[in-house]
Amino acid sequence: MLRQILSQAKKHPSLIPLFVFIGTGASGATLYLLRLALFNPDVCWDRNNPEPWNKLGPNDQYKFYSVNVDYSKLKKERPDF
Amino acid sequence: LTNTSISDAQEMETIWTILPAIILILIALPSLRILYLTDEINDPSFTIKSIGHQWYWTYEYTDYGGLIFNSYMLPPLFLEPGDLRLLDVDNRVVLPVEAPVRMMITSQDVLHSWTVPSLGLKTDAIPGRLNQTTFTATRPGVYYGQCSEICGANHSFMPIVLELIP
Repeated sequence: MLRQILSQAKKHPSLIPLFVFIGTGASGATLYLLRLALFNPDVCWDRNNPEPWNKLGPNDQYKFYSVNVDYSKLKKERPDF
Repeated sequence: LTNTSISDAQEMETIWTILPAIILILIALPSLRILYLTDEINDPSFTIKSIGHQWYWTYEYTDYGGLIFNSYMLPPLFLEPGDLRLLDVDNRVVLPVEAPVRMMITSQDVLHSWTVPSLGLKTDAIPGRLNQTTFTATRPGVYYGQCSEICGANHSFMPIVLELIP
């Protein structure tokens, strides 16, 4: 199968960049969707633990990319309970 | 007479596949960075809670002392000349300009949405969930908005008024 793909790629080399970009885009979209499904605090898969969003840590980063704010270094301004 | 085996100008084809792709990536990456920047916490001066009810808003200023009040639309009979029908309320949300404000928005009963279009704000008020939006208004004045999620008979009659004072 892989050999077939490689031989066809050699016959039409100008199509290789096309497949590279389309492949990167599609796999990036799928991986991000999986990341959201598994790590987003709004999502819950476990019937026995229905509210995992109540156990978020104040120093964890849940965003994909944080530009200026370093969540692990945030200082704690609220009182302990 | 089909074109399945016609293959011409392959170098050109490669270039005009790769070049637009690179241009689009160069546009997309800073754009995504800006998108994530809009989500940042901007160290707000204070926090206001906005709770949607059917069919009014409750605002709580609890940072320094406890100020809690309801904000109902002014009924047409109570309007003074010069007031805006369906937009003016009895108690406005008073805020200072140039101060980053954090709004925590939720609802007591059904879905509502807290909107002030002239400040670019729209956040849904969802029962059981706390949504956050932050903003910094730079110009004093009165800013109007209306509830933006259908919530029953008086959905059109629960406006939001922000009064920004210098």
